[in-house]
Parts: sequence; structure tokens; C-alpha cells
Amino acid sequence: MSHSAIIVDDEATLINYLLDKLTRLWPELEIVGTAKNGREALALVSEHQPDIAFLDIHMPGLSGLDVAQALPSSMKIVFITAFDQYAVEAFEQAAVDYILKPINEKRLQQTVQRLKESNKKEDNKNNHSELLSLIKEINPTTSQFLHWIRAGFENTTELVAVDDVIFFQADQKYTSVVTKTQEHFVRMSVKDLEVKLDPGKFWRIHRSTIVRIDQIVSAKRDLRGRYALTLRERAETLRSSQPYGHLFKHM
Amino acid sequence: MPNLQARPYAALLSPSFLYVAFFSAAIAGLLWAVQPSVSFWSTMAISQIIGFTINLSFVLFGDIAENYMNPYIAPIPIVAIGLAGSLVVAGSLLVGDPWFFFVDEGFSTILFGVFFGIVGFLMFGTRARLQRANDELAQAAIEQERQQALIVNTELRLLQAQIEPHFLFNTLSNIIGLIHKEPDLAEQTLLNLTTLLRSSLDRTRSAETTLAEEIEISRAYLEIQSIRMQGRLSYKIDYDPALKNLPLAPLLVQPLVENAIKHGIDPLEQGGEISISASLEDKCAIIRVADNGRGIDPHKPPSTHSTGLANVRDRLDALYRNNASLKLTENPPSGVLATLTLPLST
Repeated sequence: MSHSAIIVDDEATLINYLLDKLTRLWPELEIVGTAKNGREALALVSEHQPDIAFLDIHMPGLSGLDVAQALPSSMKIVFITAFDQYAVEAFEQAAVDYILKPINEKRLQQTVQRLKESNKKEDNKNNHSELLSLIKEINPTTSQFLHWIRAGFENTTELVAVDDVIFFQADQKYTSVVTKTQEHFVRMSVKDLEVKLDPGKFWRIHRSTIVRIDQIVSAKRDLRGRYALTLRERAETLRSSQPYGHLFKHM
Repeated sequence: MPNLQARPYAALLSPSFLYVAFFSAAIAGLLWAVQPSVSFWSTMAISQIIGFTINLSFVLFGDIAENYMNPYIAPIPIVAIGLAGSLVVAGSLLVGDPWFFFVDEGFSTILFGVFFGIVGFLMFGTRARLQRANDELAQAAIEQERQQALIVNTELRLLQAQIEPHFLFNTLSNIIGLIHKEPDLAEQTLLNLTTLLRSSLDRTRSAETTLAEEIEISRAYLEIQSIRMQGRLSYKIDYDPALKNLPLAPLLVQPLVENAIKHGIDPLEQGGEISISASLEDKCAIIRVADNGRGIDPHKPPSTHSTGLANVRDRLDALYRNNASLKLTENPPSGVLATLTLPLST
């Protein structure tokens, strides 16, 4: 059975290198095309319907993992990466083939051997669903929580990493966003912010205050069940209101 | 989580009743010596009642006073309440007239009041002060430990951040790919990689470098990346020659350049441009790294490898305290501008 393949890598040098090696190690393999990004790769696949894809993981636009998800289940995939601890570990466990850059000829020989031997398409379909769930696991996707805050100041928009924020406090029309050294203002309300922040990292402690949990040094209760919080990296003392008192019971 | 707040009264009251009993006995002896007309045992009884009641009023009201009052003034009303209460009790029990000490024994009452007032003030005021001082010391020790941990932590991350493994292997892979076909380019890339490796090894030893050196390192990095990205990356570097010898901590600029490529330019198929500039403004050195790349997606979590920004911030904090800053802003029409502001004299 003859095989056809595509090579996808954003670096032409590496495409050429792999092309050279493959021609030498597996002369019968027909390379029907090369692509330098995910979009081109998908176009190549629909045009030539190759049965093997050598896919670089790290690419602009669609990554190799994204492309793999969109490929027909009959296709065999060999991932290429320079260094990707998590992905490589996952590939090892799921018996997904991969090659590391710089490409070692001996290792490539093994891959070629494996590809030649596994001709059963049924087998491949089972592997495919496993591959998809694997990709879902390792492919970084956008999260539901907010990670950056755009804070307007005059005509520039400053980007504040949410991980740097110590607390948010409502201030009339605005909400002030307080980091270790700075204070910014955003138009979003504390109520809106609350639902967009990771509840494992931020607590709402008052109608007008949200605080980063790991910034709380101590919580001191007064007679009316409210708490005064001292912070690690800011001098301010924040007050919780009674409905949020349960958060500090265990402290 | 350690509770470092001062809780002077609560903390010192647990074994206090026994302590106060001894204290009251001593005072009773003293009073009896001054005023032998009153029998020793009734002086002792009154003194114990007063001691106990005052202590009790500290137990009952100490927390409130602590929350709402100056810790040095707080003992005064507490002693007053305790004393008044105890004299009523002592009067009722010993003489059968609750107001006995206020009416018939005015002089002894004042004497008791003054005694216990001073004792209460000295005891609790001093204790409160000691407690505060201890807490402050503990607080300072913790802060120092935290700073130390921060330094160790950043140094560790610094070592890890110097050459990213993905970058290193990718570059080696490129060199191998070029070595037969374009030996000159391969050589050039190898030399640039050498500059980066050497600087990263040297910089662990020397704490300070200069702006010009830092920029050269960033240039080597950009050179390698632009070979890898083949036309997708262009860059320009422009800095005030007066700043050439500006002393600079290592690895403040390069992480910003790395970020600009990794999160800004590289994800774009069409690529983009990075510009590095440095100028003198208001007695500060301002270093800007701008890209016209993809910009920041508010919902995209910072990637696991990109400890870059946090790293730079921690280093600024450790090296310049609050005098330096790193600001990220949008760079219209697209991309991100990172602005590093450093004080000139450090």
C-alpha cells in the first residue's frame, strides 16, 4: 500500500530538513505538499486527502493540536515539537506518535517503521477518539474567567493582569482596581466583576469590595460579626459586611 | 493563616485570676500596714473582691475596649467599672450596705481606686504595649522572610527563564536545518545563540549590566527569531546614546521582548514588528517594548511558561522597591506596549 503525507511547520528550514530525511528513509512515501500554518494544512488535506500528517504543534493561527482536531479520523498524525513537556507526556501515555526537534534520524526511522506497519484503518479510528480527548486535555483554551482588565486612563488603555490585583472597590461611578503599587479605574461594577472572576482566587466580602484571597493576612471579628481584613501587600484594612462573614469563620 | 493581630487582653487573661489573687493579697497587706484600724481579714476580703471583679471586667469588656478604644486608655474605664462593682459587692457582703464604701469610707475608696487604677494601667498598659511590640516584631520577621523567599524565588525563576527550552531546541533544530544549505546563516545563528547563552551564564554572577549590553542580547534574540520566523518578524531598536552605560539589572528587557514575540507577533500568520526604544524622561530611564501583534485577549490565561511579566515585576520590586514600574498598555491600532520606568540613581 502506498502512502501519501503532508508536512506542516511554520519554519521552512525544518520542512526542508524533514523532507530530505523522509525522502531518504522512506522513498516510497509521496509527499503531496507542505504547509506553513494550520489554515494551509487544512486546505492541503481537503485537496489531496493524504493519509499521514507531520504536524508541528507550535504554529501561528491554528496550532498543530487545532489542526489535528479537524482532520479526518482515518489520517495518521505525527506531532513535531521542540519542547513541550505536557504534550509529550500525554503522547507517551496515549501512544500518539511524535518527533522531537532537532530531528534525530534514528527516532524518525522508528516512526517511519510504525507508520508502515499500521495499515488497519479501523484501528486508527479508535485511536482517533482517544486523540481528540487527549487534545482537549492539553490544548490551552480561553477560560471562562477574566485574566486581564482593561483600565482606561486618558486615551491609553492599560492592561492589568488579574493575578496582580489585590482588591476591587466600588467608588461611586467607577470601580477602583488596586494592585501592589497602583490604582486603576474601570467602569465595570463590582457585581459584574464578581461573576467574571475565579471564585477560587477572589472573594466578595462586601457589597462594594472584592479581595484576592491569598492577600488576606488576618481577619479580625468585631462584635457585630463583621471582619476587618489586613492585606499582605497593601496597607489598607478592608471591612467585610455581615452577609459575607461566613467566609472567615474558619480563620 | 497566622493571626498576627494584637489581642492583648484575651491573651494575657487566661492564667490571670490566680495571678490577680496574689496581687490583691499583696495590696491587702500593704493597705493593712497603712491603715491598721481595719482588720487584716476584711482588708484581704475587700482586696480579693476588688481584684476579682476588676479582672472579671477585663475579661468581659476587654474585647470591646480593644476594638473601640486606644489600648492605653482602655484600662481606665474597665478598672473604674470593676472597682465600683466590687465595692458595691464588698459593701453588701461585709457591711450589709452596698453604698458603704462610697459614703462612709470615701477615703479608703479613693485609696483603693488610685491603687488599682495605677496597677491596672501599668499591668495592662504595659502588657498591651509589649504585646504590640512583639506582634510588630513577628510581623517584621514574616515580612523579611517573605522578601527573602521572593528573592530566592525570583533567582530560581531567573535561572529558568534565561533560555526557554522550547526556544533552545527550536534554534538548534534550525541551525541543523541550515548547516548544509546555508552555512553562513547557520554560523550567524550559532553566534547569536552563543551571545544569548554566554550572557545568561555570566549574568547569574554579575548583578548589573548596562542598557547597551541588554539591548545587544535582545538583538541577538530577535535575530534568531527573525531567522526562524522568516519574514514574519521585523524589528527596530532605537535608544538615546546617553543611556548606553545606564546600569541595569539583567533580564528586565529581554522577557518583554520574548513576550511580545510569543503572545503578540508569533500567533499571527502575517507576523509583525517589534520596536525597542529607550529615552530619558523626568530623571527616569524609560524603556519601551512595543509590538503590533495580536494584543491581549482578556479571557486568555497567561500561559504556563510565561512567568516573564511576574518575573520582571518581582525583580523590579526587589531591586528598586517602589521606584520603578512596568506598565502594559494597548498599542493602537493593535498590539501591546510595555513601558519600563526606572529611576536614574540607584
